[in-house]
Amino acid sequence: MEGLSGREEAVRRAVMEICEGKLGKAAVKLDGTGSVIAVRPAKNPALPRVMLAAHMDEVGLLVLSATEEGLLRFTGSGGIDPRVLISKRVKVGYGEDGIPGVIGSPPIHLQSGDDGNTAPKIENLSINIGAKDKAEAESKAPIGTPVTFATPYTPFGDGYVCAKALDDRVGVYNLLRLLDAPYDGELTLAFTSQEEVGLRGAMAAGFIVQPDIGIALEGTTANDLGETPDALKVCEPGKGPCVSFMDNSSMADRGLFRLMLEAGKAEGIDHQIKKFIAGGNDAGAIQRAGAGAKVVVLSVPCRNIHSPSSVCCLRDVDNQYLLAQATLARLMKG
Amino acid sequence: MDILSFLRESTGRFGPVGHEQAIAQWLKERFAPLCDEVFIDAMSNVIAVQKPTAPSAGKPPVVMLCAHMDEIALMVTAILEDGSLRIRQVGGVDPAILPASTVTVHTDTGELFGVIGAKPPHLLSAEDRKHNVKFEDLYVDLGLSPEAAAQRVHVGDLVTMQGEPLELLNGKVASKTLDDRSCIAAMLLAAERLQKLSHTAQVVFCCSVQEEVGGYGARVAAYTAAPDIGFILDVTHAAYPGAKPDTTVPPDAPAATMGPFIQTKLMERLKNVAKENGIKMNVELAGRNTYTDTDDIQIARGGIPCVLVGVPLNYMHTTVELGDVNAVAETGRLAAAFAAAVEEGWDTDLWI
Amino acid sequence: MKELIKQLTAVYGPSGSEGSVADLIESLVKDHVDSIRRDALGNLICERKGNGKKRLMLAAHMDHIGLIVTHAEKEGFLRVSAVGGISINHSRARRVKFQNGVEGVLYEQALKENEKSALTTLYIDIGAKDAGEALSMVEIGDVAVYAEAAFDVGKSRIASPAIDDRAACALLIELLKNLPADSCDIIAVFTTQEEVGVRGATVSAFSVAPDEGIALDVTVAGDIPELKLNAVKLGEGPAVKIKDARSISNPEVVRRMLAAARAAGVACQREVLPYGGTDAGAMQLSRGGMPVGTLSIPCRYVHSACETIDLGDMDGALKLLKEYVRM
Repeated sequence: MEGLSGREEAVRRAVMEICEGKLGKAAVKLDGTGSVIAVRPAKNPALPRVMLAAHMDEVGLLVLSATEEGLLRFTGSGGIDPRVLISKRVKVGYGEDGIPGVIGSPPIHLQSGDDGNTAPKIENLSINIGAKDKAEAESKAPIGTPVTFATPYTPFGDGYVCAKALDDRVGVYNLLRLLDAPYDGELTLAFTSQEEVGLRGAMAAGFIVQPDIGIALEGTTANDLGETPDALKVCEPGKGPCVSFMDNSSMADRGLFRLMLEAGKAEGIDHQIKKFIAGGNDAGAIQRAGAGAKVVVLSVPCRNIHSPSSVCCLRDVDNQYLLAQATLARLMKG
Repeated sequence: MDILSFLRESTGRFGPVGHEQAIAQWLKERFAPLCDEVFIDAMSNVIAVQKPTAPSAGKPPVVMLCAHMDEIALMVTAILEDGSLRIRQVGGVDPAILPASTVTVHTDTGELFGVIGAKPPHLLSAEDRKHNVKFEDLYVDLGLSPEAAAQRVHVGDLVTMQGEPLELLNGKVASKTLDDRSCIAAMLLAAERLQKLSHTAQVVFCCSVQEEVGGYGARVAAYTAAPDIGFILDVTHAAYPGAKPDTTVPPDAPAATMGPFIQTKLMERLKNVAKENGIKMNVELAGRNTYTDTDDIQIARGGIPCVLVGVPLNYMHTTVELGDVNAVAETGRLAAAFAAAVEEGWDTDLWI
Repeated sequence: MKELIKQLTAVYGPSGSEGSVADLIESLVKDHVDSIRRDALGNLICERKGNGKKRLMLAAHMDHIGLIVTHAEKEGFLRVSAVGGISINHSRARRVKFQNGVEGVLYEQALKENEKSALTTLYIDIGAKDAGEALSMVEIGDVAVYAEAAFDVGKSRIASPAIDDRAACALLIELLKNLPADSCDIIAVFTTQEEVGVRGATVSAFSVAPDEGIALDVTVAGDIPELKLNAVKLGEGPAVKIKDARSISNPEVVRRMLAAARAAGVACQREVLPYGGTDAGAMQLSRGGMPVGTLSIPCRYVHSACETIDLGDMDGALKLLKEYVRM
């Protein structure tokens, strides 16, 4: 399904249906940015109040206007490197109303001199939906129309999958599975909006919940192939979900970081430590909400993150769920 | 309310970023006759409230209109041995607008007239002429001896630019600080209209501080006012020859912004209000930050759904910002119509 | 004051690992405050009741910058990233130390032609022969800090890698120990994670909810050769901050600070910094906002291993504060 930042309605509907189904309507509410907040009251109020978060939005493009020739100009929604857009298929609009389009490039035959060396700028790219003129393009795709990568979900290799939006549908998937995770303290499961444009849903949800502990379930960047120096690989798909000690938006609470690693070791769950400091996520917003929370981030390594063809290992997705569950169990021991 | 008179009285009034106390007091007095209560908060935001004039079944929805009252300015960073002053920006000032301009230096002991120097053409090399000026190269000439300058001026003193409103043809006006006092004017117009309209919403008018350095005032004002819906008024870029596509809007009408920070359904409602009231409204898109108070109000407290409407200006952040008086009037009319249209459930019925 | 600064700067405490600094400060102030607590981010929050006229939060940050280990190379060298504003220029051939006592050499790899210096070209050599040995000595995620001990510079100055901001912590401790009887209510917060984004101050300001917030921090002195930055000089008194990149001090707060300086007979300077920020930037955005200001200690060589301040400026700052809290 499609869900750009600020336009998560389809994902929201699906998430709300499952949450309400499992916990009842009264337990599920929305914040002022469209995040879904499901709360399980505490059986034992002495335990820490925990907030698990995964974001519903994915990166994509937004239509700006149409050219005289009927092409669509666009801008990025969330962090997009224009170089991954060349020669790709996209879906303009959501659901059944969506229409196919392509982002092309001048054919190599007609490129000259330095053309091949200069990276494209997003303002020089356009989407072609086959419209015959500006009027037709504008009526099919007016300003603000969301555009997503048209990548089919494709399992391949030995337990790997190629898809768009693994960041962060893997987290949303596991968060839905954790709706009935064993934990006797108050447990909030927050499906946040607008993480990709500045952790915004998590700021609002964090303010409403103000937990003691926050754990973000994310998809994170893996840069492990193609002779990358070890120090820059960040993490490697297939070796388990990644526990982060620090990223650009938060420093993990040292105690919580160690607790999660111990839980992984004790339960024999594959896991690794994220070995580069890059990016930010909802944990940063939750840590600074209200009077502050201890946080840590648990991520599924994704190659080619923020591109049409993200790759992750399904075993890592499963282990993210298991390690999150094991961490909650360990928190109960006090 | 006459827009031009208001602009003449307000754009010259002292209110640099972080030093809005004087204009806050003045604006409080302007909103007081139109509202049920007005106060100035800890950061000097002005917060004025009009209670509902029509009943609602439950708690009346709260709509907050917001326009910022701070202006960009300069600040003294050093007094040189020759009696001239070094300056730096407070808010986004392009140094290119400064050579050969006149300024007012605000000292502990009163105001001083100053001229920002410019090397005469006779002494400029071909190289010099190619580059834009930098703050490090600029200085303010006070026409005082070094001793007198050092005595009267301190590091940190504020320096405001000069640029009174100038009427041009066809309802256009050029002045400094149309950003954002033109939208304060629109907000006052809206307050006047709403006194005579039926509205179930409680309408809050916020004249915010420190927008030019990061939306700080709006952020804390939204915390205090805790609105259900935000309607932000700020200026945007009017079309000019050679502008890149998708970066400007036509100059003669209010322009609304869409994008992730703007609530989609609320935007649809805004479009309907404009249509129903015969108000021409153009649309532009911000893929991420809007660089207005919207960015801070949207994430205040538990999140606040927002729309953003702008008065288009040419030459923004200069002392000859150029806007259309009619666009200001229509922005005010649109703000009033929107606030009057807000009904119970508008803020919750937005997400599915 | 000098001995206190030396004591405080000797303790390990980069952003995120301020526990030992908090322990020391707690032991020093506990007899001078009414209550002490620590919050989720490790802030040390100390309350001291006064005349009830206003609740004033004074913030000095305990953390300083460091280098965090991200990877151990096959040959035993450690790759690092920055915790806070690490300058690569200050990071070549430095002695560094970890919390567990392991010491090493921070250096830069040989650069290829046209390759620019970056955090990724730095590494720490702890004398390990391979990755296995390296990771038996330190862990991924451990943070190294510049290892210099504080030393005297001239008759009245002192240098250390941790002057920013342990000097201000010393100031706040001395204030608590010598608080005037007619002071307002003081909440002294020794904050964490200032260097990575004023995070400690953000959450502590929310829970304290004061009427006013003053940050105590160092500021860059512009009085070294060829630096045309600002007019702040060492030895000319504490600096009343007018503006930096994160906050514009409330004009009333500035007026009161200048008046406090006059009343205390203390010379002071006014400061405008074109970049940087302090905990004041966080306090002003808390809840419904509050008037904020910063009192700065002029400092040369900020974010180097030899941050240098003048003890006369520290004494002036203390006298100014003692007046300010009575206003």
